[in-house]
Amino acid sequence: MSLKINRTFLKTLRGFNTAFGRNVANEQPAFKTEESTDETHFGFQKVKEGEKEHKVHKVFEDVAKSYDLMNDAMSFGIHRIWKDIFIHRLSPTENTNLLDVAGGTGDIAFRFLNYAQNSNYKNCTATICDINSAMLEEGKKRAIKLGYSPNSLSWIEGNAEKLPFNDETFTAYTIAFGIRNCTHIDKVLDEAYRVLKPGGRFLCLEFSHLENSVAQWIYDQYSFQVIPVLGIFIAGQWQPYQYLVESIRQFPNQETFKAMIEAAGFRIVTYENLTLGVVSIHSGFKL
Amino acid sequence: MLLNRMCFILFKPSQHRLKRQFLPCLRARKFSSENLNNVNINKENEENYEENIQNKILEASLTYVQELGWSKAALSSGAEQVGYPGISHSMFPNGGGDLVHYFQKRSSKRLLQYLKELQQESSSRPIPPINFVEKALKARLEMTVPYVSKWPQAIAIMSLPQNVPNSLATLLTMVDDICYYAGDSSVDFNWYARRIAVAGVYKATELYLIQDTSTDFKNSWQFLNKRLSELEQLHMLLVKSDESSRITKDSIAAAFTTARNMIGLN
Amino acid sequence: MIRTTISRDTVFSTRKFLLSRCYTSKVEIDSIIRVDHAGELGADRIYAGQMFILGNSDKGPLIQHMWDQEKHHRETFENLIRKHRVRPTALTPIWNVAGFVLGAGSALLGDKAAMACTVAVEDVIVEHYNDQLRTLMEDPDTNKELLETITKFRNEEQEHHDTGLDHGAEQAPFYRALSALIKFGCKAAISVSKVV
Repeated sequence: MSLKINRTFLKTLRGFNTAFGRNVANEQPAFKTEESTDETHFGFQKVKEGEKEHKVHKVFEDVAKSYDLMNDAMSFGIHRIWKDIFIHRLSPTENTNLLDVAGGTGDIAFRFLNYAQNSNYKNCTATICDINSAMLEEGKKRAIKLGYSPNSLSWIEGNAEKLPFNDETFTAYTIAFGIRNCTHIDKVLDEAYRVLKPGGRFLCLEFSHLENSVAQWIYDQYSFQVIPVLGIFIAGQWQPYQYLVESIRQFPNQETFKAMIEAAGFRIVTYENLTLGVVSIHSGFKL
Repeated sequence: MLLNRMCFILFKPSQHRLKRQFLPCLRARKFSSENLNNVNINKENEENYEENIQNKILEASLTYVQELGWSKAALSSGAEQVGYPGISHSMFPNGGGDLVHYFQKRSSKRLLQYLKELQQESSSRPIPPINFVEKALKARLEMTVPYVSKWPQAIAIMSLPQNVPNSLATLLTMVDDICYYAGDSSVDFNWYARRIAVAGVYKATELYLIQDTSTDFKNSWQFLNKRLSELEQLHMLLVKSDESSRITKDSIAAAFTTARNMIGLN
Repeated sequence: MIRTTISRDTVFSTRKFLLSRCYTSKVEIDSIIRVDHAGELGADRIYAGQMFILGNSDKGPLIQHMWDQEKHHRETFENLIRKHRVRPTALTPIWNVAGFVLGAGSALLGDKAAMACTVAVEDVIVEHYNDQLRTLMEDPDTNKELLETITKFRNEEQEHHDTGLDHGAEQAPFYRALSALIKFGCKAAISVSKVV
C-alpha cells in the first residue's frame, strides 16, 4: 500500500515537474528516428506498437463501469456541453448514416438520435464501433434503459485502424475522445476516408492544446495533481487517469492534426477550439 | 498530397518531428523549382476544386429557396441534387448567410456583365448618367424578383452582425461598379457622396420591392425613377450652391484686396 | 469568396519566399496613389493659403511658381486615380481646410515662417516619396510609369525644400518647434490617408 502511495507521489511529482516551465506539447520524450519506428508512446511511457493496443484495451476495460461518472467529475459536467456542441456542429439532416468510432458508451450516438428526433428527420441511423466489448456492453445497457429503438442503432466491435465496413458506407464519421488512444492515427484517418461516401463529413472531438500559456499551466496543474486523485476515489484506480492526462499532452496540436487530416485526403479542413483549447473539434469533408 | 506533406515538413520545423512520428511513410525529397511550380499549380487547382464544388452546391440550392427559404434545408437539398449527401450542407458553417452571400456575388457578376454591355451601347448613343444608373439598378433588382417572396428573410440574414461585413462589401462594390461605368470621374468627396447616394436609393427601392403587389412591379420602377430624380435635383442644387459659394469667395477676396489697397498695405 | 478556413499558408509562404520576387499588390498601389493625391492636395492648399496672405509681397512670384508645380502634381495624381480606379481619400474636405489654415497661418507669422513651413512639409514629403520608391522598386517593370512620375515629383519637391532653405526658412521665429510640429502633423496625415 505504501509502495503504491509512493509511486503515486513520484508520478505526481513528475507530472508537477513536467508542468513547470517545459512546453509539454512539443516535448519528445526520447524519441528515436527511423531506426526504431516500431515504438510509440503510451502516455509518457515508451512502448512497442503491438503493446499499445493491449494496454489501451486494458485501461478502458478497467474504467468502463465508472466511465461516465468519472467524465462528469473530471470536467465538472462540461463534457456534456462539449458533446452537445459537437453534435450541433455536425448538424445532421435526413438520411444521415453516422458511424461513431470509439463511441463505446454511446454518448455521441444518443445525442445524434435525439437531434434527429427533435428536428423530425427521418431515416437517421447510427453505428457504434469500439474495440472494447466492455464499453459496448455498457452502451447497449444504456440504450435499452433510455429506450432507443434498436432499428436505429448498431453496435459493432472493431478496430478503428481496420474498420469492418465496406468502402463508402457512411455519410458521417465521428470520433470523440478516441483518436488519441489509437496507435496509428494516420491509419485511422485513412480508414475514415475509405468508409465515407463522397461529400461525407469527418468530425473529431479531442483534447488539444491551449494557446494561452497561463491557462495551460493551470490546466497542467489540474490534470496532473487532481485527476489521478479523483481516479482513486471514484474509479478505484489512478493509472488509467494518469494515462489519460499524459496521452492528452502527447497528442499533436490543432494545426498538426489538421495537416494530418488533410494528408489523408480530406478537404475544407477546419478546427474550432472549445474552452480556450482544452478540446478542439476538427472537421473535414471527403470531396 | 505528398507535396503538401513535403512543404509542411520544410516550413514548420517545430512540429515536423511530431508529424514524422505519426506519418512514418514520408520520405525526404529533393526540392526543385519544378516541384514548386507543381505545388503552385496543385495548390490553385485544389482551391479551385473546392470552390467549384461549393459553387455547384450553392447554385443548386438556389432552386430550393422559394420553397425552403435561405436555410440549411435548402443547402441540404441542393447538395443532394448535385449528388452529395445532405450533411454536406455543413461545408457552409454560416448556413443561410453563405447562400445569400453567394447569391449577391453571383448577381454582382451578372450586373458587371450588363454594365459593360450598357457602356458599349452608350459609346454610340450616349445615355445620361442618371438614366444609366436607373437602368443598372433596375437590372439588379430584377435579379432579386424571382426570390422576392423570401427576400425579407434574406434581408434579415444580411443584417445579422456576422454577415454585415460581407453584405456591406458586396453592396459597396456593386455601387462602385455602377458609378464607374456610368462615367463618374470624381476624385474628391463626391466620389463617396455619389456612391452612398446610389446605395441608399438601391436599398430603399429593395425595401419597396418586397411589399410591392403591382403587376410586373411597376410601382417599384416608378419609385426608383422618383428617387433618382430627387438625387439629380439635389446634385443640381449643390452645383449651383458651389458656384454661388465661389462667387461669394471671389467677392470677399476682392473686397479684402480693395481694403488693403485703400489702407496702403500693398 | 465564401469563407472557408483552409489555411495553406505554409505553401503560400514557400511560393513567395522561393520565387524571390515581390509583386506590388493592387491594394498597395491603391494606397500609394491615394496618399500621394492627398499629399499633393494638401500641398496645393498650403500654397493657396500662403498666397492668400503673401500674394502681393516680394515672395509672391516664388510661392506662385511652387504652387503651379503642385497644381500639376495634383492633376497628375487625379488622372492616376481615374486610370487605376483608386478610391480617393475620404478626408478631402478636412485636408482642404487644414492645408489652407496651415499655409495662411504660417504666412501670417511672416514670410520666413512661410518658408519654414514649406521646408518642413517638403522634407516629410521627400522622405515619404523615397519610401514609396523603395516599395515600387521591388517590381520595376510593372510599376514603371508610377516610378517615373514619383521620381520626377520627388526631385521637384526636393527643389522646393532647397528653395525654402535658401530664402531664410531657418531664420523664422521658433523654427525648430514650428518645424517639428508641422512634420508631426504631416506624418499623421500621411498615415491616415494611406487607409481612409
